[in-house]
Amino acid sequence: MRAAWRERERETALRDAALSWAKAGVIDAEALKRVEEQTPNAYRRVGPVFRALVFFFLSAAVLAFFGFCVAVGGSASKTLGLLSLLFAVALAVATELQLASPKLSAYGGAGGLSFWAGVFALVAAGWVLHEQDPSEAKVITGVLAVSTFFWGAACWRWGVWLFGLFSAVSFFLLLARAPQGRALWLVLGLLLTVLGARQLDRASLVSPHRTAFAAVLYVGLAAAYAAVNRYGLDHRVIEKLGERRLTGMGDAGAAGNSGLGLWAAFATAIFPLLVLVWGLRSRRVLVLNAGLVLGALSLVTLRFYIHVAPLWVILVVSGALLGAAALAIQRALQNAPDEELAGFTARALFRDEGKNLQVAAVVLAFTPARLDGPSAPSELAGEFRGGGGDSGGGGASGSF
Amino acid sequence: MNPDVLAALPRLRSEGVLDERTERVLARVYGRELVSVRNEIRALVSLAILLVTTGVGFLVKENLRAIGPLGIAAALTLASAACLFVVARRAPEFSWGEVPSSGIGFDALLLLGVLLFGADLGFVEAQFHLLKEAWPYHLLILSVFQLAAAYRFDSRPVLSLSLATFAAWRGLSGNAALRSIFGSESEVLRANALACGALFLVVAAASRRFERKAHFEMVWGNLGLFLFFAGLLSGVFESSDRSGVGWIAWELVLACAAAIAIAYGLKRRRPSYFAQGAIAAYLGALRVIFEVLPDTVAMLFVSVSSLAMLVFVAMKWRSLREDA
Repeated sequence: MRAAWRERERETALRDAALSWAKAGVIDAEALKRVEEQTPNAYRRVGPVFRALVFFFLSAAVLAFFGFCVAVGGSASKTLGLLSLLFAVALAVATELQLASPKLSAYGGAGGLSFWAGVFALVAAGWVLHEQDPSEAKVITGVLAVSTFFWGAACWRWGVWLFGLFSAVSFFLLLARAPQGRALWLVLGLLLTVLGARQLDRASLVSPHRTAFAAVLYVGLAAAYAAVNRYGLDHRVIEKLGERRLTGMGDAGAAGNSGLGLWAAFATAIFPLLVLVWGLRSRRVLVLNAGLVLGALSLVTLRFYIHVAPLWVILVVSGALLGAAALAIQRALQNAPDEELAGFTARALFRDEGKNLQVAAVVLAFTPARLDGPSAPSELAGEFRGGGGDSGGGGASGSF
Repeated sequence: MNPDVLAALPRLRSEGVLDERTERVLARVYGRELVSVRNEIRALVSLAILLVTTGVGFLVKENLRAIGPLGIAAALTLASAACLFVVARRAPEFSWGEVPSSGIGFDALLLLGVLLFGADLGFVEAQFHLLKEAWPYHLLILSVFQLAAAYRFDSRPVLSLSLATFAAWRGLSGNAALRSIFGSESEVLRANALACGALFLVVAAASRRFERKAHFEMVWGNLGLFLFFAGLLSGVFESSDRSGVGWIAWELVLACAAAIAIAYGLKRRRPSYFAQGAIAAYLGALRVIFEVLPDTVAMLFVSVSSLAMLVFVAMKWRSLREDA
């Protein structure tokens, strides 16, 4: 990333923070104006609606032009490969040009351009590899290797954190194809987790790169957990991802009560707890969130193997306990001196409460579906689903 | 933690942008000495509601014979009533203005109560066939109940649920709306989408005009526009049109509606109205392009027109609010 772009990112981080302080009433308009004067090169951030629109129209323009070129040049594999290569280079150059211009970069199209540059680069890589050796397995392995490298480099150069996520995912998919895929997932997953965590507060990095390392941390944790999860072991999830068979192990459930199986069961239980403890001790919300998600997955794994009670009992009791625990934590935080407990608070602290997201989530999760047709009432009786349902009339959020 | 902001705080303090106390608080927040878990608590409570309502669904399905329909209906009614009773006792006074939330627990109980009522109503109708052939009307009743709860307790999520349930009563869902654009759907469904959309848009306008829960305008407006444009686009892409020119009439109406949505979105700083109008106009234009031009040229034209739309959107975004 160029020095000028890094400086722009730093100024943007400060201006964004000042905007959130002004919104929360911590600073007045005059103070905000002074911060804005000190950050003349900062991006004028555009919101998600505008970014989605830009991405939509940019994608339509790129894909339609590609379609036009294919229609003119023919759809032979060589033509497609060469065209993809040409598009990848052209879009990468366009990304560079856009980021070089402070005026153009404000519109946020660089993310879309670089994304399509990456997609076309992968298609071109697939074509080149296929020309050299038509073996499907080798082509997939090669494309995953290129994907790991390209998205990683693109993230570093253009500062799009999502590409860091793509790179990390590609890397683990590539590892899954190695003979010791599961062991590699565990070891390198933990290594990447540690590496990601160490970069999160590094002052020499810019904000998008730190976010990319947060994504790497998540992927590393997920990979390490998948490597030790009992269900994943029994059902050979990693091996299936890598299109391999686990040496010396039969069908699902074959791990049984062997040493490996017992070890995996223990690790499934202890892994989320360790992550939660790490999150609490380091006061890292993203690690805490990861621990909660992994904990839920471990409970689902437990339920898969041990039927302690009917499913509805498990769901209702765990839901009630979870809700009660969450509200108890909130109450404890609110009643603590200065509403703080061990460095945690239930106050908003300039974080977006995601009200529009809540509205969309409620509609998607809970809208009942109408069943058409003359037999509908009896169908309803047979397939009664309580308060849950299919997605309804779309998100009716305030501003998406 | 954000080292960029943390490093800038002493400078902002020395320049008088921040006072000493504010700098101290911000240094704690950006240095990760003080961390907010508000969103995490909210997410956990939402997950808890999802688990409980799903569990109730399984309870009903698996134990219908053991407990009996009356027992299940009574239990659901009691549970729903208990939640809503607590909500009603703790709720602040009604106001036509925006009422601040009474807390995460209050919001959760309201949502749970409304969802259990929906489950109860659906179960009773499925078991006892009270409405007989008119059984879909239970969705209308549910929608009205949810609407009342949303207005009384000032809840945008419950209002969204109410509108989506109303649309479901007319056979509309997000899925169906998309199918209607890219597939052939019945004219009845299209008429329902247009009527629902128009109704929601009228209420959105009235909410704002008469300042009756004006902050609900965007909920009504967004879903209304979505349904209205879905209906118009299904007309534009209607494949069973035998006259061959009927789609042009739909195009004209769509163009007018999109222009109004874009203009209103710009005037009132409603990014989502602007976005829906722009995308609807663009999708409508695709039909014209592919009707008039040969496919190869049409591709090029689509590419150029997409770029033109991109430039238009970029030029107009400053007119919208900056957090759009």
